[in-house]
Amino acid sequence: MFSENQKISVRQMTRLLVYDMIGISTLMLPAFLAKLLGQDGIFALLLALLPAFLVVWFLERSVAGSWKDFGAHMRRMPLWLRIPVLVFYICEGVLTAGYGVYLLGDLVLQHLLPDETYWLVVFILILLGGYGIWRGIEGRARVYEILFWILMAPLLLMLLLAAKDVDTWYWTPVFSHDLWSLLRGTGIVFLFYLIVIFAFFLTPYLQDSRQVGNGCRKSLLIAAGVNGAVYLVLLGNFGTGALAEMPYAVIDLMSMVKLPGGFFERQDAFMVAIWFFTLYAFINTDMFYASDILRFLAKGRAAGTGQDKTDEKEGQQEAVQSEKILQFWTVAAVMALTFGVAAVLYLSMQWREYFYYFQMWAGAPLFILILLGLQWGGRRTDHEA
Amino acid sequence: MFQKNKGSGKSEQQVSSSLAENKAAFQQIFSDCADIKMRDMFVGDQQQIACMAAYIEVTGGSAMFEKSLVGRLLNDLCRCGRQEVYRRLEQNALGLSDVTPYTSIMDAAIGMLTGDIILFVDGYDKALKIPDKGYPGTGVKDTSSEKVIRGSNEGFTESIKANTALIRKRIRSPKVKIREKILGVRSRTNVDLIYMEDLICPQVLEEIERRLEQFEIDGILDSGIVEQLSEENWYSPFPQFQTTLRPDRAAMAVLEGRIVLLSDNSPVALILPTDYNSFLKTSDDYYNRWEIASLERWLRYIASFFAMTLPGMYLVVSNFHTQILPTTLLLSFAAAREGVPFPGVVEILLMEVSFELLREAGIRMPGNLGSTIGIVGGLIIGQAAVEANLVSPIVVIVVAFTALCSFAIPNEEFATAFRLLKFFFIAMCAWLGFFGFLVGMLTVLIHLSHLTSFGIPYLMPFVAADLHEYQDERDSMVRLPLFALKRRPIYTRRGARIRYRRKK
Repeated sequence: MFSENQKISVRQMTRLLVYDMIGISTLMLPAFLAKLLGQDGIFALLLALLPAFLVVWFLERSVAGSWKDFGAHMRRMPLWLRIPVLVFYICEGVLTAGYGVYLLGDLVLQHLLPDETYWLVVFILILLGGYGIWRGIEGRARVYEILFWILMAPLLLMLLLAAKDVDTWYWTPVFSHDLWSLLRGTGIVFLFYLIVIFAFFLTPYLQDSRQVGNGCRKSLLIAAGVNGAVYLVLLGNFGTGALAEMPYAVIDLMSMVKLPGGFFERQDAFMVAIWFFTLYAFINTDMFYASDILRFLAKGRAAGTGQDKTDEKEGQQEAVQSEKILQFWTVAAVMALTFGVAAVLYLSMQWREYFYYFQMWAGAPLFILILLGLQWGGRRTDHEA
Repeated sequence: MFQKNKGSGKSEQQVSSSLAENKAAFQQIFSDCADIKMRDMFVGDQQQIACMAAYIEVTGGSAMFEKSLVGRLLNDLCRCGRQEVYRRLEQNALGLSDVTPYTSIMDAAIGMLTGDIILFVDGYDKALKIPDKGYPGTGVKDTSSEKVIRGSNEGFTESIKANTALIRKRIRSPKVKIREKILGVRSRTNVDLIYMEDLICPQVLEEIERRLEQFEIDGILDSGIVEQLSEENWYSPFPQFQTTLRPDRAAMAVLEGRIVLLSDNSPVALILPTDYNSFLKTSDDYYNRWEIASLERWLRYIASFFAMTLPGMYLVVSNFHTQILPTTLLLSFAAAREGVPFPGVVEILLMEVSFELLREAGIRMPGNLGSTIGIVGGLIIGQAAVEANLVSPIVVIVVAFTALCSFAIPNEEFATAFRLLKFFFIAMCAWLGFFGFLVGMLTVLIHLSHLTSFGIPYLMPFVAADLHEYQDERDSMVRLPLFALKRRPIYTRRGARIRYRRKK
């Protein structure tokens, strides 16, 4: 009637993207950057915005042109190309979701439940992930629309309180690293910003797809701002050497902050909530697209990802029912695969290294290449038509 | 399953011009019904026409034939000749305002069961339904809950007619429409849908009518039955209809383009659609100044959070993350728990279950004994439990504060959801500490984000506020001054959302 049309607003999309980005990046980037670039890490955070904006520009052009619907675009592809591309997206979704689950599981064990088993935590997270994606995009968007300021406000407050202990000497010297290191650092940051590419899959769900570029740019700026603030505060508190060795430095920082009035001794346990929700957003997004694309692959006929119109006409109860069954099985399959990835990453450090290498040298470049190829193919088809 | 009277041979029987036949038919329908009275009389100037008044014992007054409508009718007919009697009956020449003629015996029988008198006249082939005293019911009284400091405290009664009148009294507009339905195959209960014709979204009206037509049940004894049978998500602890005992709240809802559903014999009105925010509003939010109304809203939002989570949070900080608390507080917690043989979760559950028992006993106990139970339970048993080292004082404080929070939620049905979820949070927090708390919060949040009431997202206007250009946020946690609330909420149809403008 008023809603339930599987459409989301630009504000919802922006908030979703911000949470997808800042959870994993604020947790992992400080250590990476401190190790690689030290005080120059802040420049990598800024420089990486350039290729990210380029991706957004490309996305905007695509939406303004022929590409309004990912599904329709995919169907134009020859079968021999379409299936590997879809399989790649599914794998990428499951891999990153699995990594997110591993990361969150590890975080929970380290900071909240040291005596609990990893498997139980992961099992619960996967169940939550499945529950979150079951009812579609609108519910997900609403969760993060409502959580945005509830989580951002305490994070910013804590950063502000931590800022008073910053030793600005730790911020210098700058420009002390070579260009290659800076480019590598920028590349790593860009990998995290590349999460904005999820907007490609979001366009069919947007109420006004022309606004996609604005939403993406806004989310990138917010993510870069938060990451920049976190990095500077961490650097100013811990210094480069210590920061490079701290896996979850931002959470350690939270344990050091003293609230005015001094009622709570330590807030780190409470502040884990921010990363719980943001990492869950990341996991949820990956699982959502993986299951959506898997369903698309299984059906091979829908109008687009999430654009199924089967329930529009009455008398199509059977189609709706079979759609539900298909959805159940695709969600279940993605849950099982994600669990598998999280298990492998937990059991073997070597596989974690493989995962990083895969993302750096195959995952991200392929993502961009495929999207460029799709755009080129789409334009050619339109021209021929 | 159901014995449908309509459509059977008996129901087709028409009212005959022979009084004897009509009487026999009525006697057959109401055989073994000691409360049904059939009184034979004569009318006409020479008492030459036999007639019969049939009624339920208490619905016809003892002095009915002197002072009542039917008495006046009979007295008038006693002064007419035979032909004049029939002419007057046919043309309603007596000018009685609320007389309904029936041609079917079964319709007449059902008409009598609404609490009116049925009059059969020999030689006249229609039965007349004439209102009289009607069923006994409580009059308009002060509402027992949803109390306000400022504003009317008038409450709904158990008579649907009185209740619709109470709404009409507040909105004297011909655009207020009342659509009546009969639900319950055996109870044949009147259910009214009240709405403002030019404000409601027609789809909502269609949807509620569709849902009401989707079920068949033998009896509707309260609006709660209608609510449960027509709500979309039966598994949700959160109500998808708002309830109220207050006519002014219902009238306010009608002015917002919402639909009020009244059921006969029930003082509880249902309002639809609804959302989380609406449940935390009270009537006097709009009667008081905006600053205090906003503060109270904040209090209720915080109360709704703590009513659900406080006992669980206590378990989190006392069992899992003691590092959060200052050492002095931690030591006083430990000192208070000294000698208590149970683990924290058992303590909490013991007190919570005791509190729920006290609440239940307080409701069921007659009259003043209810408050006695509160005193006995709260003070005497609580104190005794602490002194006997069964529970620690801090747990009593936590449980009492939680109860206070749940009482601060203005809607009882809505508060029930938090009471139930409180146990879910106790279980999650006792099992998984703060992780359990987060999982619980996320589960509830995901559930709420998927929940809708007639298409309205339950978390409006905190989500999807763009659907109404962020106007509904002005009347959410903060209630802006009335002049700033220019538009009606999203429930109203597009194009009719302006409710306030300043005259030039």
